[in-house]
Amino acid sequence: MSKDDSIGESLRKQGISRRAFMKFCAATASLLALPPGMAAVMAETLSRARRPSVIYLSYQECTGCGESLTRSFSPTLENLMFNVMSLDYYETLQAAAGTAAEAARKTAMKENWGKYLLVVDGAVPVGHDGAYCTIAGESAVDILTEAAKGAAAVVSVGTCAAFGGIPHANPDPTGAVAVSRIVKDKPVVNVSGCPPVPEVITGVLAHYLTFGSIPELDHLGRPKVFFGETIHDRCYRRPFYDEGKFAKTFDDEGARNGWCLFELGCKGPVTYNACPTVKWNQGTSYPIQSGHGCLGCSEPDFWDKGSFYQALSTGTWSGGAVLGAAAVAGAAIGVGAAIVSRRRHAHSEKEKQS
Amino acid sequence: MSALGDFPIKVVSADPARNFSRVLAIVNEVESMLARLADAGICGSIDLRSLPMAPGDRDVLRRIFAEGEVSAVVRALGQTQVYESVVRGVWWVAHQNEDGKVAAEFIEITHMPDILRTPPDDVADGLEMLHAQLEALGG
Repeated sequence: MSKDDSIGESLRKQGISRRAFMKFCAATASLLALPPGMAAVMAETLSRARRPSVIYLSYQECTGCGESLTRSFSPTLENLMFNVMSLDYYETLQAAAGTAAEAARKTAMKENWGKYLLVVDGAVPVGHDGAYCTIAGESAVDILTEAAKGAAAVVSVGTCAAFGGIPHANPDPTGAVAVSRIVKDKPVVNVSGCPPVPEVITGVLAHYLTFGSIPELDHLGRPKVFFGETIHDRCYRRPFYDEGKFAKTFDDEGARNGWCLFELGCKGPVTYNACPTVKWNQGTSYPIQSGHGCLGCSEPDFWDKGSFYQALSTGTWSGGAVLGAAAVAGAAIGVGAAIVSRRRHAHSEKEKQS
Repeated sequence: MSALGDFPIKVVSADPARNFSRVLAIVNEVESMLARLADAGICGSIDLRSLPMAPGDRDVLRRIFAEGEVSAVVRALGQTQVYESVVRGVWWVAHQNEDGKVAAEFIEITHMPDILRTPPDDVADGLEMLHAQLEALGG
């Protein structure tokens, strides 16, 4: 497969029919919440485009995000995603090691300067001049700074890269920060989650490949198409919440009847993510469907906000007091949660402007 | 244990008195789209993955839009199951991966779903293949 081939040509050489490619586009358009008719437009645009270079860097992370990415769609569809882009550097998957790997990264950067997509997972430690994370003798912060200079855009994959995540959690011994704290002069897309929903990662990449631009972002730099609504707003258990029917323990009658998990600590009302619609394990389920409340893992500092099993009304998530008063009646909670959500949004907007 | 089915899970049937508001909303939307197809020939599509669905909602929808006169299987990057429902003009299209898991699922309101038509590029490939066969046969 030549690097100069268009995506359509390279797929054709591999014996992938246009109909199969249309199917891939239909699934991807669905992910991006595009109107179903956009699948044909996507197929046309993608097939004529050149394969963009992607450089994937990993820092303070557990490889959960990479594991998630490689479970997107199915083996076949995932391979197709990897075929429509040129993944030129990714330590977890590449065969090369040592100086050969570093040379591959530098060559890809040089050949695609200003055009490549830089994907980063993991937080970046800045304590002790970045000494807590070094690769081939260079600190993570230096490699990231250099790589970002030639990137068209940066995608921070996972809550660690997006907001600092667990490395940044109290007491944060390494001075871990989000990628956006280092990269200031390039568009940064935050695909948060611990890990992010696999299809959300590939969906953002597909959007970039199709439209040549990053998707519209929310106040925390997350793509609105996936993070535009709370887990709670899209949850199939929401009708029980509105009726004031809550599970009190994990094995009571309410839990068995699938009632709302708010009182068991669910952070769905203040968490923005696509779990209820895209779901996990190829659309099988998501935590709430499996009987456990949302942990709020796609939100900043989720690890330091108190017990996962403490109701929002009594916890340290913003606006707990407002929620507390409403906890008695489900419908009232809905209003309270919405107010908290809006306040939080307004607050962040204010921070952004200052 | 190697498969999910090996786990001793107690399956509780859906409560018949449960909330059907989500299903009702979808069926109403299909009705509007079908009316538009009948009156103006405008096709429509509902992406089922973009909607919040409770366990069991899909089964209810499947019962309403049960298999009708036409069904087809497309074998491309895993199977795609397509059938026209008993409500004519309403098609169920489920794109599966190679493991048989659904990657995308639509209710299409149309005369025939696009996935069943042969795209022009594939026609060109077919012609090329046939030329090669003819050459091999000495024709």
